[in-house]
Amino acid sequence: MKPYLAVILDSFQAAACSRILWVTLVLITLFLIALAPISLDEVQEKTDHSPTITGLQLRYAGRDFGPALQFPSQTTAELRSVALAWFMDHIVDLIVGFFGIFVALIVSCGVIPDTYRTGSVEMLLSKPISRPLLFLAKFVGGCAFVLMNISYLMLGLFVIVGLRWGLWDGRILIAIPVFVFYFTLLFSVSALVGLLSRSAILSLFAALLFWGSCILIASSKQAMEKLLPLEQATDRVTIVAGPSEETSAPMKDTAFWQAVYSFGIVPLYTVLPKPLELDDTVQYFLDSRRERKVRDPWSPVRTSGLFLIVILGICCVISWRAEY
Amino acid sequence: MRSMLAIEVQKLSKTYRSPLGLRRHRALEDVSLAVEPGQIVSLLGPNGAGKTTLVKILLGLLRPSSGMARIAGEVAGSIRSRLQVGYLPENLLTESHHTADSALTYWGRLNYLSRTQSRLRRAELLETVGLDKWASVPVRQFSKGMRQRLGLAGVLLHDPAILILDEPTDGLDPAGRKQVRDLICAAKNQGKTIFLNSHLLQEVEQISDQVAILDRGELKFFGSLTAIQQGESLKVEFELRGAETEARAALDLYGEVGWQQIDKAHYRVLLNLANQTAIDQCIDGLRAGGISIVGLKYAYSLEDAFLQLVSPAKDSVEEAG
Repeated sequence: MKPYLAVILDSFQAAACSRILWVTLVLITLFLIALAPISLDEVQEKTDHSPTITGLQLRYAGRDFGPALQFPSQTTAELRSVALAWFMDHIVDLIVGFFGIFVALIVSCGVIPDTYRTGSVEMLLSKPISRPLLFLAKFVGGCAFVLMNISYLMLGLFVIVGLRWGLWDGRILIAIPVFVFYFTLLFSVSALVGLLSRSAILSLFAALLFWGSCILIASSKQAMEKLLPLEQATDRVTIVAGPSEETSAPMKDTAFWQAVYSFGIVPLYTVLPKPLELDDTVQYFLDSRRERKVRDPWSPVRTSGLFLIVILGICCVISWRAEY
Repeated sequence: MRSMLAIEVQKLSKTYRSPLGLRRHRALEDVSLAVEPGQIVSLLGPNGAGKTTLVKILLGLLRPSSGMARIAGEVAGSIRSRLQVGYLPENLLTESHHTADSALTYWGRLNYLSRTQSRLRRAELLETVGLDKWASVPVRQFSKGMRQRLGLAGVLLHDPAILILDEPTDGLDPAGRKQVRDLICAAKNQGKTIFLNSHLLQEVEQISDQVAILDRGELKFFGSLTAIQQGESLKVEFELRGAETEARAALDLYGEVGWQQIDKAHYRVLLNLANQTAIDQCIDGLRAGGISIVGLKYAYSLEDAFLQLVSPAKDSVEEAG
């Protein structure tokens, strides 16, 4: 494993020397400092005998931030848990799940193309190392860089939430493997395109396009499930397939969209990774009351993981078969 | 029993095909050669002759269309064969975050050396290639020549038995070239085999034991430097001092090819002689005529031989089917 560990460490060294690592760490630190003044204070109502806690107020530097959370039937601990789930869903999800992943893709898009550029790859491949393992080591190197940054951010959030909210909840840290996995899915597409094209720009563009496509497919599926009478989908499709002239125009239209749903959206959704649903997995574990309707929290992880294995397998075969 | 040859190539062919297979280009055709250990072998040929293709097949970067290549008895390109090889590409790109020290440590680790082994070897090698004062300087500040010398240190790091060097003196100044030539000769003296791909015929002439000349994918010559320089007859250049009439009389038998007066009673004469006996007889005749032989050398250079063997470039792309 010695040479492959050297490749992983070298990816880190490359990031550290290009100052990207330090810039990212500084940005994360600034973000954490900006979040530090957020507090979650109890709202008390004074009665004759003793003050009663009626809710929780989110405050930023002592100023109220939105209306107080008031759920008289719930305990303070439950309310804090709800607030944390909201915080993770709205703040962390946006910052890490969108901006963080976007920056990570920009930072890492050159890892694979740079490795396989002419003048560099010949020297590397003349060494007594396996081609697929070299690829995987570079891939892990790219992911390790992101793992470090996300871990720093989430540990920082964990400490802030603990100190300021009084909620030392280790479940926050589940976001680390989930977001790294989220990034890994997109990075695998970037790596595949980088391996084929040896262009950092193309690999970044492909990853972003793929990300957008996954979100579009998942959103379309959700929208269609709300709008279409899907229980009868099979029958309707049969009607469209048959030469029935009695079928009305609106029915034909609905049947068309049901066919799109059944033969387009669902198969694509099944095959593609599910970044949106990965957010739900995080939320499921954060929401102690399990209010989120997640049938199987591990399902998106399983299907996305299968996708990742297939893409990395293709990359390994390509790197093994390629001529340089 | 496995061959003990350093490099063995048998009927090696390589055809490049366009993605749809409509066009093909034959880069190598039935190339066979065998390199004994401890030799310096230079691979020569015009652009597009197939030199890089052959080197890449030996390293496993390309797969042959047919034929076989072995390095130290192992199938070329296998991990076992690559353990025996140190390769310096023509335009080595060292990642810009490395210093000379860290690049050598990294390459050492890729060759299964420990950090301690790499550290010990790198100091010695950086001194050998004249980069010891640049050990901690980022390679992005290096000139092309310095990068080549660093690459050479990297090639020697794991003490391989076979060195494959692609234009190792490219971009170096005359002093740097001499330094690299000395390093190559020192490696040979340690029993290493050096397979050199170079355009610089004069340099090849100075250090090679054997040459292989490729032209449009075909091996035109493979043998010793002396054999190629001699050709069918020996072209010998004499530098003489003495009376011109006596000199001309002595050389009359041998059919003079060129006569150049340097100054009074000082000439340079070019002769075509059949063999070494003819050279000895010629020397005897000149000495008998009272002519001083100031200098004597083979006048048929590697360049002459090369140009005679290699035909003018022609497009070798063929339509498939």
